[in-house]
Amino acid sequence: MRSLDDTLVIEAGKTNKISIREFWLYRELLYFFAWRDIKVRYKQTALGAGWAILQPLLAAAIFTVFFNKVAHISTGASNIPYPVFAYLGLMYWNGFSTALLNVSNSLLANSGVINKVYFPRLIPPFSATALSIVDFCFALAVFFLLLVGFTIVPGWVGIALIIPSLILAMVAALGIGLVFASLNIKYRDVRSALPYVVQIAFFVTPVIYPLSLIPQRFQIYAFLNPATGAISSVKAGIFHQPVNWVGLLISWVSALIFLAFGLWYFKRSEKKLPDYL
Amino acid sequence: MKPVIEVNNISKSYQISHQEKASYDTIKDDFAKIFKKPFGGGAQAEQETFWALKDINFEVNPGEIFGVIGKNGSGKSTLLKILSRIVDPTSGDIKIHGKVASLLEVGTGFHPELTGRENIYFNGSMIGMSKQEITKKFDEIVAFSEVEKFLDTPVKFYSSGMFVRLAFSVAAHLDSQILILDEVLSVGDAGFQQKSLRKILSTMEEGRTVLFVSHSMGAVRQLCNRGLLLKNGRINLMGDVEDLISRYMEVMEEEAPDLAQTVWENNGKTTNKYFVPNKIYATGPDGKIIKKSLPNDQDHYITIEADVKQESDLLTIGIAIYNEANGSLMLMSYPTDKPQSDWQKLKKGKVILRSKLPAHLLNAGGYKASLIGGIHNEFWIFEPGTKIPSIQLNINGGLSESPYWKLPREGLLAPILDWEIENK
Repeated sequence: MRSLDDTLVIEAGKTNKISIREFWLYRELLYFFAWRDIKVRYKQTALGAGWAILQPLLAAAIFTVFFNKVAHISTGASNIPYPVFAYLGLMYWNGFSTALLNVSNSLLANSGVINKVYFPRLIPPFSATALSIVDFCFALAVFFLLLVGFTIVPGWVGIALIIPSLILAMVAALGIGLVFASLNIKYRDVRSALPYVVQIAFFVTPVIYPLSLIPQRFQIYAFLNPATGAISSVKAGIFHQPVNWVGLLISWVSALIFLAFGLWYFKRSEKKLPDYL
Repeated sequence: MKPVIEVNNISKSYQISHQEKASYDTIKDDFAKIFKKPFGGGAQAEQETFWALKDINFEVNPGEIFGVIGKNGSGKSTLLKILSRIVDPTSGDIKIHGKVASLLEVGTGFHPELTGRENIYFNGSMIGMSKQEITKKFDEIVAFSEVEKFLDTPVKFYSSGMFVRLAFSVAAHLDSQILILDEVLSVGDAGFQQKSLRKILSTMEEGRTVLFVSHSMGAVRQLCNRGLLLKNGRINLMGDVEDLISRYMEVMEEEAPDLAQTVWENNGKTTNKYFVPNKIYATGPDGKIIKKSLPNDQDHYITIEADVKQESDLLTIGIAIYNEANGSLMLMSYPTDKPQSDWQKLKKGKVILRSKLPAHLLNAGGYKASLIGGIHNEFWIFEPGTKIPSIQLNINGGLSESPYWKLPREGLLAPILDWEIENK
């Protein structure tokens, strides 16, 4: 409503179109939601931004010992050190999975304000991705240090794909998260089930193993999972391997379909929100 | 003048399920439904439509402070939420001309981990202020809140008073042509509330329109000149605030439950050698037993029907009146309070004692009248503070004829004292 000086009409059963104009009017609130989440997160934890770095770093160390050294899962090429390979995958996976979880919980977490103030209900889910993006940036800085440490020269295709792949992961997380966010309000089981879903998804996504581990004829289906496209294309690009462009395209189409479905489903359930919150 | 808020035929219904159930479903429940009624449809049988609001029509003119009153469950909150766009109406439409803001609570979105400064920004943007606007008014908000020293302290360390003051201060600086206001003004310390109220009202001179929803008659009278009374989701009365308030009082009275004990009767367990009460009750001037309440401008007659078993000059029987809310003893009274020459003897056999509790004595509220007495200076038969025969009384309304004194004031008593004014 801010700076909307003309007439406001509240009508029963008005079809709930997504108003880009309204969303734009509320852009400052979107920023404030993200700003609050980031402030609170970095205040509540003693290590602050340190967590963003430690999480993938420790996980990469553990996977190096157990998957690489014990289970002999390799990077698919002799010249790629496993710790760097795993760290890169985990950095994206963390971004994707925490965004997915935060988006899914965003309505429940903000139910207090949703019941008291009007704003486009899409704002909390959208702003929930911001924290993952900030965390990702810290982790990315460490990734460059790792490249230096392991004396790896990254491929320029990979460098160019860093940001688009992050966007791909966020689009997918948002699309899937919007569905879960709506379901979460109606079915409180979703909150408990979601971490397991994410855990299973971790193993079916080539995060800590190379795409080549998946048989050739199934690879194309693996790209239906947008996280596969995001992670495997950056990895290929950074480590001078051919990028599967068709696969990446499939992942993008899939992510956009998720987003469109998520928006549609969210809008459909939006009006019932106050009855359940 | 063209109205700024036009509400046309607004209704809101809820489906209420008659099953005892949590407000949210589990997937299990929905699966179970599918298995029980694989072809659907059947589930509706247990549902009932409840109309929280029905056919609401009204208009608010520019510059007006319009009050919406009603008791809890009358539909006030639903109307407020529809006007604030938090819930969707089932039918009807509303047109609001101009920039509108809603305050359903103070401190919406306050986060305990954030500092006072950070919360001002977040809360301000939540209730509809732009970042630029907050920055411009920041110093004013801080000065108003009187928490300057703790501006960079997380609000989790604030006292509840400081917290509410800061929250109010942001709300009081909200600028909009139309303001939809809930009873947010009824929390926090009274002095600060008044200050905030004045601040909000000071912007009224610039032609702001306010829709104020409340069940605090005092605030409504102070603020509004016109409004509507909601009852069971419908408009019961619309118009002048004084009329609304008197109707509201009537509605409250009609719907007040009967007092639990207006008549005390001896079940045979209360017995002694001297004075056995049979029945205690209170009547109005018309002699009818009072079941609900009586206005304060009428005399109450407290009546004790009893059997005197043994005559005694020392037998003194009277009543004590207690305030139900806080248990304090208001008064004790005996027929023997007058000079001894005026005493009437309690003769053996049936007696009726009747005491007049004069009008304009006690303040509005609930009371307990108890039988007290004993053998003077020797022992109690009915000792105050023990389990003694009692009835309930309720005084409601009729406080005075003055337009300035219609609602209960603080205080145990509500007498109308004589005043003389000498103009010099």
